[in-house]
Amino acid sequence: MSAPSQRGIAASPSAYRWGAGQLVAAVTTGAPWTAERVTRDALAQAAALEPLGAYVSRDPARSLAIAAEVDAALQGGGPPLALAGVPVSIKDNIAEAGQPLSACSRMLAGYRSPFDATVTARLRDAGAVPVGRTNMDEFGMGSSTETGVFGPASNPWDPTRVAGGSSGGAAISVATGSAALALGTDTGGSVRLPAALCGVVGLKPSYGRVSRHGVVAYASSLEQVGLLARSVEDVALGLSVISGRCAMDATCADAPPFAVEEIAKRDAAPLRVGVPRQVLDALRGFGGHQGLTDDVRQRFEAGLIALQTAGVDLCEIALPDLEAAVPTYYVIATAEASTNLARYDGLRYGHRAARAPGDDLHAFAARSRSEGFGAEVKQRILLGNFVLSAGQQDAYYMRACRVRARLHRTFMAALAHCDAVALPTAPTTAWPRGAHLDDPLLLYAMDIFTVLANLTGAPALSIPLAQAPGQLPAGLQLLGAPFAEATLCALGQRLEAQRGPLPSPTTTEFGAAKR
Amino acid sequence: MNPNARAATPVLDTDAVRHLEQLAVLAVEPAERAVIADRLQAMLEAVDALFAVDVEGYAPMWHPPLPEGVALPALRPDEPGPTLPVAAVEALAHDLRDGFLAVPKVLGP
Amino acid sequence: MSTGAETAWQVVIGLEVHVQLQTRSKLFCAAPTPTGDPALDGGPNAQLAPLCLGLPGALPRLNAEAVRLAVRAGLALDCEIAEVTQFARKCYLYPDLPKGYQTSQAEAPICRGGAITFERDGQRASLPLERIHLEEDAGRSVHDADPDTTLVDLSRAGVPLIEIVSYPALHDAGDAVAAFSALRLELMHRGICDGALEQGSMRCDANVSVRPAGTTALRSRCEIKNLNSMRSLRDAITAEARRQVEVYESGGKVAQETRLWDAQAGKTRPMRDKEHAADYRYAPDPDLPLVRVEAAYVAEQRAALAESASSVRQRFGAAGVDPDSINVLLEVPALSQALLAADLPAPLDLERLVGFLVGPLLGQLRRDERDLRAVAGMLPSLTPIAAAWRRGSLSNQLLAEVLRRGVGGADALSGERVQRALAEVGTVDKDPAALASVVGSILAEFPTEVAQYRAGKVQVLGFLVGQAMRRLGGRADARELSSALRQALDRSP
Repeated sequence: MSAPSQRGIAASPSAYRWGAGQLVAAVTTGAPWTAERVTRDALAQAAALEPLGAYVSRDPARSLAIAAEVDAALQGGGPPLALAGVPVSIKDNIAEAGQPLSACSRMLAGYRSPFDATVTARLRDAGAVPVGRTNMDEFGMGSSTETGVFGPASNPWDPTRVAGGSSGGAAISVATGSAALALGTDTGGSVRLPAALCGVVGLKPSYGRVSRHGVVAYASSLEQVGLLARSVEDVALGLSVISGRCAMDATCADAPPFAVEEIAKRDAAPLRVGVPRQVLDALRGFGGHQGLTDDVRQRFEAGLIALQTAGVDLCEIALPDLEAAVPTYYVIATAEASTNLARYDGLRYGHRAARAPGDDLHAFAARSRSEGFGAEVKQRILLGNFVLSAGQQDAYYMRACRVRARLHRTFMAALAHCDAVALPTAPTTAWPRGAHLDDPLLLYAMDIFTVLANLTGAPALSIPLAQAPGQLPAGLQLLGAPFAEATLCALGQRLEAQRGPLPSPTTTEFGAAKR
Repeated sequence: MNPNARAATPVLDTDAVRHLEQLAVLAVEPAERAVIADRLQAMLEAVDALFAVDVEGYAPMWHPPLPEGVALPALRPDEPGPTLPVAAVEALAHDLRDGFLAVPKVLGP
Repeated sequence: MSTGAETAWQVVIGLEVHVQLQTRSKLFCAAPTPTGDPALDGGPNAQLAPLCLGLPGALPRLNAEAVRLAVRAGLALDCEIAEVTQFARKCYLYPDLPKGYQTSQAEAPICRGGAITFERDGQRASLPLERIHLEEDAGRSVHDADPDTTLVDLSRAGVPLIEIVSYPALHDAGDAVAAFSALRLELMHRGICDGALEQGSMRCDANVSVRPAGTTALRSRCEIKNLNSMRSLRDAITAEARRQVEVYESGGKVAQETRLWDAQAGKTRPMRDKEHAADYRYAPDPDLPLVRVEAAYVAEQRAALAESASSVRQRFGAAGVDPDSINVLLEVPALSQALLAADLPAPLDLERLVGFLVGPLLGQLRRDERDLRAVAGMLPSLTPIAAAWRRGSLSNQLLAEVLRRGVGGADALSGERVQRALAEVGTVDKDPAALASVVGSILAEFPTEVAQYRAGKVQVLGFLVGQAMRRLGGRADARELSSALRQALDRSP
């Protein structure tokens, strides 16, 4: 196989912009391409772009050893591997046996997981090579990848801006080519938002599609492991590897893995996309903050036209109550987080404060937790305790769960008229770093279009929109019926084909990146 | 109880924050408490939109339902499985004494 | 309050019983349930899964067997089984609670209603139940090893429990004991719990309040925790009721609180109030889907339910087994079931087999401080021994020897070992000629005793039988030998 055209920073021919399918073909064919060589390129890319803050821990020797195992398996005539030699990045809240697992929290600094998450074990079994653990907001609680204990991440298109979050490191890793595929988690938009802000594809699978075993829980009824890549084809390939029944997660459906062949079947049928125009026109932001910007709105409309040009029918749908989605999300997410994070008390493992004289157990644990958690996490735990507390639980938590039921019904009703619902992924493009940190409500407002998929369990795919020179990336999001990922991928590939190739962030800009 | 019933937005002052700290097992610096109270109050006011939605006739939804034809897994069969090697527990634990996890004494039984 | 006229007080008692279910793995993960034997369990914290430690990323998976046992408990106690049941998180901080919450049930327990039926002085009575719910056990904290430190063993964390909650409907400590005792036997016979109180397999909390006789309103109640023997249950209720009466009669008020029983002091004392634990923030566990209990499944469990303790008692009684033996047998449900089901060769009836087991065999096991339940597994091999004994093929002496070799000592019990002992010891020699020859030689050897017997001192027969038996190495049936000797002695010299 011939080497690809030389691009980017690597002096020798490099595969760092190749898609996963292309890499698998090359590595499976063998010399000159091997998993080890691909891994070296990926690691070099990661090292060169260190200042962007994509990774919080890397172990190049381990990555190369895994790559060598993959090469040996392939040379030994083993079965074909779906992700042979594909460099993957793993968000720091997904366990790999023996590796650090901190969710970017001081609480878990130095903690190593004694077991693999189901998804990382499946990636490994498929021949993927983990290249590093990616940056995130602490415990996934944020939209900008600025609150982690290892420092903030920067947008590869403009390092003065945020990468989005909470899977910001994952988005940077695929945008800049140190990984062809990234595992993120999406509790309220944490895969799709950074994907949109960094110009890559992000998929949040249907609730129950992918095992959560080995994923540091934030809000269990909302989150799924998601995938980021530079094409719809690659996220679909990744989903086919990580999805399917798992004996370790009671909420993971007893269903076979996602089959990539389903996409072509769905593509053969006429497809219709619903657009809730009324909602977009009337939308006010959460907490009185800004709604949809004109720039994003115009590019979203252009994306819809591209879909239409690709033969997709558009129709108008109603999506009432969307403004209640963010409040509903924050009540449920903080309630679940308050109990999910109760285990981090410093008594068995995790950050433990120095013991002060006269400390009883409660005071000691409270100090360990207060030192171990950052401000945003503490804030959400306090709010979660409030909405679950005696006297408030019916008013807030139970009510939010009822609103959730209503949102589910109205969303499913909208899907009676179309195969998927289109929404912008985020109301704006990447904002300046540090800008909204002192105003959490403004950050929460960024989730306005993403939380509906988490509340309803729907799959959602964010696809980069056309990006003119000087523009920052923006995404169009498609939401489908539960377990209809194939439909979203078929639509996403049509949009990609109409849109054409995207520009890449250039190395000079990377060089200018400052943490 | 009428699911649409709504009392006024509660007021979250520093005393309320102190109570929440007790529940949440957190110890906020006294100086931070007022800031946190303000932020929580702002959040509560922002989630007021919940009360604009009519939820009469909607049972609380705990999990996204699976589509027809897709089932949850059967319950786990009662078979003992692998356990963590003692070395793994030793590596995790702060303080092991003769196999016991040592933690600061709780007052009283 | 007037202190003049004596007020008559009525005590009001409700029970909350935590029952450890007999499963092989834990309620929400596949870690093995500890046996309680340190040698098998490998010491503290030796057999933990990630969930037992509350590690990040560990998720719960509900044990099907625990649900089955909870449903069977509900059926045994005549409860209504929920069609849909749900788990909830109960949040509080404690070192032996690894997730920071206990996974329990709140709004939708697996069973509601039902009753414990019991007998008191020959009268049937019943204690109505409010609910039965499933929950996980906590770990074990050792507080007294170090002045400054609590030692935690999480081996027990996550073991499946059902909590059986009664209404406050009893008015006598003796009734509480009778109800708890009946519940214990019932759960043991239905195969739900091993009933080992000393190992904490069942832990009883009693809610106690008092009120002036004739009034109906309930007053403040105190919950006395962890009453793990019949005696402590009775004594604690009695002492607590007396304390409350004294408080009221001296013009005070009883505070609603949790108390502990101090058996040495003979009184209850308040547990240190967990000021933070008042609000548990129960909420549905988002890691666990609702559990649907299908009607067909319930019917299946009902059909497969083991026999109740009271039915076992009745059947033994009908077979003529004495009440004391029945009480012993009821402690070993597998044994009593095996006995009731045994296809016994005539004329060996149940009464005689029980006579054998309850006497010599259980005696031997008790001497060795063995768990009586161990007998159940050996029953198939024991039946031939019992039959041999009853047929007279084993003298008491031979039987004692078989038991000493076959089940005595500390070696592991097995059917094979018993068979081997039986073969080694052999059986009674049934050859009449051998018997006659020994009788002849005994008469010749002990002329004084023979003369005494013939002079009317018949007690010496026992001595002569003993001597003859020794001569025969125990290989004779004592009755046969005795009658042969008597015949020879009664013959004129």
